[in-house]
Amino acid sequence: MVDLFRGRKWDLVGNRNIWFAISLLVILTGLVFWRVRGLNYGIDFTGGGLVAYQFAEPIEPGTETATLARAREALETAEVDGLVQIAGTATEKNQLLVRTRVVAEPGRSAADILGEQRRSLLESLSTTFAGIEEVESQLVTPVVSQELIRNAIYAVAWGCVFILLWIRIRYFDFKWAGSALVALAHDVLVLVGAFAITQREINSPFVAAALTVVGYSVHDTIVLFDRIRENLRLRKGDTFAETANISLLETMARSVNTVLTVLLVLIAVYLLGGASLRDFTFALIVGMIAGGYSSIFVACQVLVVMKNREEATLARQRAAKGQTARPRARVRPAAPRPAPVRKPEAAESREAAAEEGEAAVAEAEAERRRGNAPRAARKKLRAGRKRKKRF
Amino acid sequence: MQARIRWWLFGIIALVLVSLVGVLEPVKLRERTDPNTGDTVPPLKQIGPLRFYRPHIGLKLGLDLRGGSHLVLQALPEGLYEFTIPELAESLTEERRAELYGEIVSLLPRETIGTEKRNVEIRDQRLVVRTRVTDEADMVRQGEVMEGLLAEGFPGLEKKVAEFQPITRDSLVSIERIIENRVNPYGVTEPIIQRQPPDRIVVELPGMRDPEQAKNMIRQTAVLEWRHVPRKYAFGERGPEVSTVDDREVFTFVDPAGNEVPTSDVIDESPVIVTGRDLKPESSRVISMPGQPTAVSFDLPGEAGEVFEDFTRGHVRHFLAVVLDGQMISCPVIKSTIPGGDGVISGGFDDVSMGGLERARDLSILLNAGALPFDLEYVEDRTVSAQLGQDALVKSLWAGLIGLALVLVFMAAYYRVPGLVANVALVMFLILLMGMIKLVNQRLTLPGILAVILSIGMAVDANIIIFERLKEEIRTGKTMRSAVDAAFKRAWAAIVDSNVCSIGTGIVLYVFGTGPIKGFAVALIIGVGVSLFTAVTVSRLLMNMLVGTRLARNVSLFGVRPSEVEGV
Repeated sequence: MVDLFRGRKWDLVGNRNIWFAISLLVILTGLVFWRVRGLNYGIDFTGGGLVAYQFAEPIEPGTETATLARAREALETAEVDGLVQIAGTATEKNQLLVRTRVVAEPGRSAADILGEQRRSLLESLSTTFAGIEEVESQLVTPVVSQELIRNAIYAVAWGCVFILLWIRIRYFDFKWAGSALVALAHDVLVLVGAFAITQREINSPFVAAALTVVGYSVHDTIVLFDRIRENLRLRKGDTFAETANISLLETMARSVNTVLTVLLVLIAVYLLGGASLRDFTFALIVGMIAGGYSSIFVACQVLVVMKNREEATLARQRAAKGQTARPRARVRPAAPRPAPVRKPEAAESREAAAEEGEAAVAEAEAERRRGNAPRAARKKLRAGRKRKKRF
Repeated sequence: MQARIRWWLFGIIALVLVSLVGVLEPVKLRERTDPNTGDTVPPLKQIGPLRFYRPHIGLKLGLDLRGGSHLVLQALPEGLYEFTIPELAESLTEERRAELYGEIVSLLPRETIGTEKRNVEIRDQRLVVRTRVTDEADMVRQGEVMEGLLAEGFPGLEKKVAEFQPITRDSLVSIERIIENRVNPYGVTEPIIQRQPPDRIVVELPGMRDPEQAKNMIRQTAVLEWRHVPRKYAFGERGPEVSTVDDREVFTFVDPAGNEVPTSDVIDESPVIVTGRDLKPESSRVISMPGQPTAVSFDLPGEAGEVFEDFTRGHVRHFLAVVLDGQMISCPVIKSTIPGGDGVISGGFDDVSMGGLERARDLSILLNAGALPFDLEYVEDRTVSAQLGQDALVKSLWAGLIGLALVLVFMAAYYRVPGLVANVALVMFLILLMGMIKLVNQRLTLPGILAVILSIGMAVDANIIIFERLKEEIRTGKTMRSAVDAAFKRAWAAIVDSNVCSIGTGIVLYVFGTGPIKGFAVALIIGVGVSLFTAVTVSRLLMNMLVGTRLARNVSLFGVRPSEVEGV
């Protein structure tokens, strides 16, 4: 079977501005929706009551609006102030969700009020929808919802702190940890944006999904960082950017496959699983995709940018001190070179052609150093490579 | 086969078998009990000490899969106040005393003080008031408001005591015990009743048919009082009118002018004689005999019994109001002295169709369990019907299985032989994971199942890292054996680092999450841990086994084109 990524010499690092642009676009869209439509917070964070009913039969597809209208009428009859929603699996919609405001008064506790609401609702809904049954009821008082909000914030904060520290410990400096964090922030923003656009409910499971996605995305990013670290040791001659790009290409297959396998199971659950898990699963799916994207197209590139800046600063400092620049202090991102490290014991004809190819490559390098447009250099490179590849 | 490999193979297979037996329980030495209903299951066949059963998935399920209620109750602190009034210091006739009581109570309307609950008692020569407060500042405020109100009617008033009564550790323990005593008679399997200091109790009632009744029972403060109804409202032949509304008895009183008086006012003006706190514990029973009204018996020992006896002796033809949590449940007339404190509460329990017998039973349970030292309020209530839970469970399991099948196919197709290895490792992973969950007695919630499904993806990931590495090592021209070794060694660092982060976020989720989220976090952590184990031991073992065989020579089976191998 074809190994899709083997041998591709994509410049994923050099083209980083494209990826940054895409990410910014996606995130900005999400943010705009957030600003305009707000987020649909569930009762875990707003407090209140949620009652779920199950229809005797799943409703016909296409009748959702009509059913909701009838449900709202029933609510009015019951004198209950609330929002209604239809829920169910991907294929059959058989649940009605009612969210109510529950404000305790002296003499009537929140539980009492919800109890009354449920009684009236069941009576009223039973006349509109024969055979309807109450299957779930939830009450979250403001005391508890405030705690849930607080805990959610702590969880996210501590999660990030932990990750920051761990990467700092295992990798060289805060630049690595910082780039990972940027990728994470990217993931979370994409996730929040997705929920702003789709207006799905944000409850405790959302926070759990966000943290899981964060953990998994970092997991991905670390595998890449580990490879970069290894290549830095092996390939002393390349720029940081080149090393990063090569490492990226090398780990690409694994990254994509892992995201693919996780998505396979998640999509199966999303389509076939029960109604209550759908928002949770949706969050995980969006998060995994964002996480995979950020590991390949964001984390690495941010790190390169930081490293380049570091190199540039060091080069300036050295120039100020009157020293010559070290060969490694190249500022502009490089197009990838074919792997020069291992010299195969090849047939002579092969070697000859290889040498020819190498010569072309060297010429392209010289061109670049002379400051010629990268495209010209790349053309020469490709020509050189073609000659090499024929064998 | 090398001896070392053989030992590892036996070890792994043994672990898998133990897990399988542990979870499916096809054979046990002791009796099998259903982890969710608590019933014992009879064996299909018994040979000596071994009992054989039909295999089942013997895992505990959380509330969202079994159905049931998750309740969080908060105890509400109180303020305790004592006042002295010169009028009370004189020795008073009973009439005068009752009059004063009525006056005092009318001076302290709940809404003006700003409290939900207000108890007034005249003890010795002091006025003792208990109210519900939100915090210490509120306690002080209420005290001042009351002082002001009372001073208008009783200028010689002095406030002696104003104490904030927070929920102490002891009272929380006591509340926990009382709730246990109230819940147990319902025969719920494995209810969970847990203190959550400083002032909360978590109650989980799995699988209850109708949790409403239980919820009401749990919360009820259950303060039972016997109060003396003032003569002006009821005496001798002139008693309250009794009617039945919904399924309760309702008592209607009229004042001497013939106007209807609200029952709550009557209660307010009726001084307390004895309370349920004085009852002998566990002494209450339901007495139901044909030809006689259903009644709940009680026993007031010691001093309280004497007080009760004296009172009844001196107040024949007066009416006693039996008040439970501010609701009048019975109002009998005193026909004769009630000796030694043994008595019955009757009335209102006889209409069987309206649940009279249940109410009698509930009352006796409440009396036996005792009154709560503090009022409780529900702050969180999540109830799922069993049917919904069952539905969700079945759907999610199917989804998980199909997802798993997809992954298996993908892995085999993309990675060929190593893919098959990964698949075997994956199946073993799942078995061991179930075994671990059973071992730590973790309850599976719906998010927990999702976490298990997620860890399928993560378990595969470790293998993918190793196999991609393997392909590279093969390409460098190493022998298969050394390629395998190198691959595993090099991949280890990346696997550890990345899984530590997954575990880290799992821990954070566990610490800050509640209920089902905690279940998710635990399942995730266990999943990552076990996946680390299987990916490295099982996969490595299988690969080592393959290395010596003919299969190993054909690199295309490992996803590598022979042309890519250097040195060939």
